[in-house]
Amino acid sequence: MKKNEILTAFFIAKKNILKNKNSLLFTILIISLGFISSIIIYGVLQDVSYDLQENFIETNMGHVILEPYKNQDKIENIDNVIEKIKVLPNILGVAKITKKSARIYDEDENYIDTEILVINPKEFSEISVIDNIIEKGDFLYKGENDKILMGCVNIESCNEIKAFDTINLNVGEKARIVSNGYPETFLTLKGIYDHRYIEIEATSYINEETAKAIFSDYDSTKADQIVILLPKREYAGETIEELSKMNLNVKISDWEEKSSKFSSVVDSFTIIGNISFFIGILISAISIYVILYINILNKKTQIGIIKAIGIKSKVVALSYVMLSFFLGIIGSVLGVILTLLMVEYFRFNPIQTGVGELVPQVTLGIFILVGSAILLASIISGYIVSKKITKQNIIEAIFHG
Amino acid sequence: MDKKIILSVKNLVRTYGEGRAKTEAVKGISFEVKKGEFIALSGPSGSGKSTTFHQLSLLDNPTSGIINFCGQNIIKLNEDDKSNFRLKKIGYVFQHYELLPELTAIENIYLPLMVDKGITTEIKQRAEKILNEMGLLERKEHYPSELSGGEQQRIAIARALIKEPEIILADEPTANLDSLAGIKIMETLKRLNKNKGITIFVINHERAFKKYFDRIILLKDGRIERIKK
Repeated sequence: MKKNEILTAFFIAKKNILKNKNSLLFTILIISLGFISSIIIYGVLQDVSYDLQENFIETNMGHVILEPYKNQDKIENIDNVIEKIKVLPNILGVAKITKKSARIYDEDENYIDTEILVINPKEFSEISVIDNIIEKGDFLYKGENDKILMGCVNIESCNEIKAFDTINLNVGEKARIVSNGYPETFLTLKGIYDHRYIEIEATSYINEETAKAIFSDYDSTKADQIVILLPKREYAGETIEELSKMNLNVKISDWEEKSSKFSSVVDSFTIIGNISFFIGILISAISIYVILYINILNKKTQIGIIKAIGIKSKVVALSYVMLSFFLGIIGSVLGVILTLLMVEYFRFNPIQTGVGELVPQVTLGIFILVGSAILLASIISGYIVSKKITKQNIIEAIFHG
Repeated sequence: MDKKIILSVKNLVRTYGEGRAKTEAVKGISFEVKKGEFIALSGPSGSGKSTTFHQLSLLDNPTSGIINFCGQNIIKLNEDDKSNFRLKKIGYVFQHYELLPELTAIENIYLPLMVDKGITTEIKQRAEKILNEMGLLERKEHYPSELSGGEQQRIAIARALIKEPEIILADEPTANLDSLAGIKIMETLKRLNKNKGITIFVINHERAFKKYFDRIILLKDGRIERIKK
């Protein structure tokens, strides 16, 4: 195609845009809505997956987890190992955890079965947000030997969902603790924490002194896990590499491996997210095609006239491809702006769910992907429609358009 | 000395539909047009005038026959060459003006030249000159919807004229105008024919304009009834 033919196509497209602002504005709005619909549900589901993982990372899983090998009972010489880890770069916090299980009774003999994590409160607060989400009472302190911290989901007065068993216990009241192989004992409820993800709340916490009082065989030089918190998920690989060089004789995992217990949930959300994403793109593409078809169909007479004065069909077709490209670009830009506004709205007003408060996750990559798909759909639609219409007989187009 | 034949039509046939629905709009007409002639095609409604013009201007494809333009059978041209032919050799004026509503008067006029020359000062000046000749220079930035029927028709003639075509085909250019505006259009065409030597072929069935034409071809039921000098 010659340069002047391209310029003529551009001129026709430009005049078309300038003289039909209102109807084109409507088309742009539809394209931008297609953009949003493709991205928002996908973004929300991405956040479900991300949040599921983040919930565990930020409470007691961390980014890197050290555990004994199968043939070992516990990680030994624990304080020495922790000191070695602390000198590595990018370490925000290191904490040891020992896991126990117990049945906790209230005065009316209602009970719950719970996992109890033995922690050093000061150390643990460096890797966990639990101390910041205390709903009633206080977090644990070192030195106390009869206190327990429980999640909201297990406490009747706190649990609104009622999906889990609860006991009727208030802060300051005593609960009876029964654990296999150990004599029963009484602990005072020191505090209740409230996490947005109720699965997290099913875990109770005690400090080392309390563990020694209840579990006669508790040894503070050993632990079931060492949990490491890093500034970002992405640093896990690098830290694991450093840890491997230290010959600690422990099994090292990252957050992703440890999330495998809920990876099927994450995978399901990812699949649903991807399906909704591609359906969104497909619907947008079809909408763009239909709108452009109607738009160009309304221009049949003009297309006939342009051809009648001797301008080639390919020039006319190119002008409509340019128009479609313009609509796709502006529609996508508007889509990005509206999506960002929506994300900002959800940031202040998150969607409340059982998993947590959800804010759609949108990244530059997803914007580029959706924008390119919308743009491609616009150009292809514009090309197919204009080709179809410019092929029509001139007389038919002018007099029966 | 005889004038050169610019257009020669032989056994032109245009049929629509098939089987029982088959309609012969033009039934094998033959005629010639000489360079510089001002000629009219006349006849009652449905006699095949517009259909004949659509074939001559390559807006439609005839069923059979030959249309020789300056010695070349233009029916045989491919689609791109037909576009080039319409762009460079013929100026077509529609009965309903058929201006592009998105373009101003001057843009409507210079659009056909853009494909060859781009948007240059030269084509804008050429369009302004023609607008001036048409007495419409002050209306150059107006859109078709802001112009009267007569003004729109003169813009349509200017659009045909800017290409400096060999021939202008005007399909009932005065049909939608009042008598005064109609006379203005015919005077404009006559002036172009006389001063610039452009061959002008008009569909007309108004007796009042008979005096303008060198010849009148009378059509009836898709055939030439007679040719009046």
